[in-house]
Amino acid sequence: MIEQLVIIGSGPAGYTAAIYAGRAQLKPVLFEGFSVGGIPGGQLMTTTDVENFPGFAEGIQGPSLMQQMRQQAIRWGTQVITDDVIAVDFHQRPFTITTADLSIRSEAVIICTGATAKRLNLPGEEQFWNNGISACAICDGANPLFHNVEIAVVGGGDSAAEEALYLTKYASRVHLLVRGDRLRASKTMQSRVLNHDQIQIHWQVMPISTHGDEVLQQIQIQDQKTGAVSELKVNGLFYAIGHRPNIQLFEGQLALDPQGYIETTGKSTATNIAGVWAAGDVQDHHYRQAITAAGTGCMAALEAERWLAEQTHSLSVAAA
Amino acid sequence: MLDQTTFQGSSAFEQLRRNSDKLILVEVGAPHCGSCATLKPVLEQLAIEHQGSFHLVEVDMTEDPELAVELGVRSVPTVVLFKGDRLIDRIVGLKPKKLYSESIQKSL
Repeated sequence: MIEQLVIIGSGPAGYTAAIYAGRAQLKPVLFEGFSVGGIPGGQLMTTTDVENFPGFAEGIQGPSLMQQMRQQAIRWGTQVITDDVIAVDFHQRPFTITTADLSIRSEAVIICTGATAKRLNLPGEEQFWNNGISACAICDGANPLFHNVEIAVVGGGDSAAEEALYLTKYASRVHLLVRGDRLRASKTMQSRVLNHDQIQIHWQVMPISTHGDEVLQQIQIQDQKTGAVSELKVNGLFYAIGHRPNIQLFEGQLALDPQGYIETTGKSTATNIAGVWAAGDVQDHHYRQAITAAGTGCMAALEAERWLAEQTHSLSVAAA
Repeated sequence: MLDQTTFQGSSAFEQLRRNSDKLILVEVGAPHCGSCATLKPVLEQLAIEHQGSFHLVEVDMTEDPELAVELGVRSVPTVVLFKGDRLIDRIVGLKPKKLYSESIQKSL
């Protein structure tokens, strides 16, 4: 049996694609993953309050938002398989998608495997992850834990600058820990950061360990030139050292952009292979929001639906 | 009671440890733990597939903190395999499904 559409990944992009494809009667099969590239439901499963998803005036918990999307996808006929895809073959159609237990063939595939925030894996990091240490300032910055306290941001790029600036709304002081001797952020962002009186930049430092009780209280930082170690009393530590798209499965088969994300064509979600689309964070290093992921998931499903209809049409024309 | 496949809490675990010579698989989790929620149905499925050959005990770390400490759980989910008083295997974190079934097969 050949499926019409397989969706790989289960964040907002995957479930939204499944809802649209299900309603278009494509009977999508969705691999929601298990332990690779994060847990089923994606990055929102490890988030608490989602305050910026339209339609939830009082906010909603990340996991319950994902549970709702999953139920909605199932309601419209999606077959959900809770397992990791371990191989795909896009070299010939129908495409082959393989897990440890099964292998299925499909005319079309939508990739929504997302991205994983990079971490430093410092001593103590596991203990304070989500108890002071976070990879998403925009998600966690408004947490009461960070109100009127000192916090630190690690990174020197645009997202580090953006997060440092954003966090000044809540924290009394933001220490920007730059590992190099200059910022990689754009000139505009640089001048905003350099001129902000709540932001203190530490050049050529590296955090080396984290300390606290229930929550983070302090970190140690090391001067990269002298090797000197000092303490920094912060209740928050935000990583803005980039994301890593979950593309390992597709390496060598799909074209990637210069940042290593799946390349999509123009304003569409089409990849370089006809019949394969990519939506959500796996093809977006810029916006990285639940709502934009859902938006591109919708686009991918609509594009796949149209493409599948054209394929069927041209086949029947050829037969006639 | 011993015909059941899935149990909850530390008192069930203590009873099984004393009264059953079968393999006991303890899954220690916590509320709001996404990985624990992902793992739970997988272990329940394994328990059904292996009907009767091992006992699955689900433990909530916040309700049974003493047991969690006794089992040396520092992060959830943690799966601990027991036969009587003998600890056979320990799997920390959410791992590929195969790892759980292999560990069970080896320990049966």
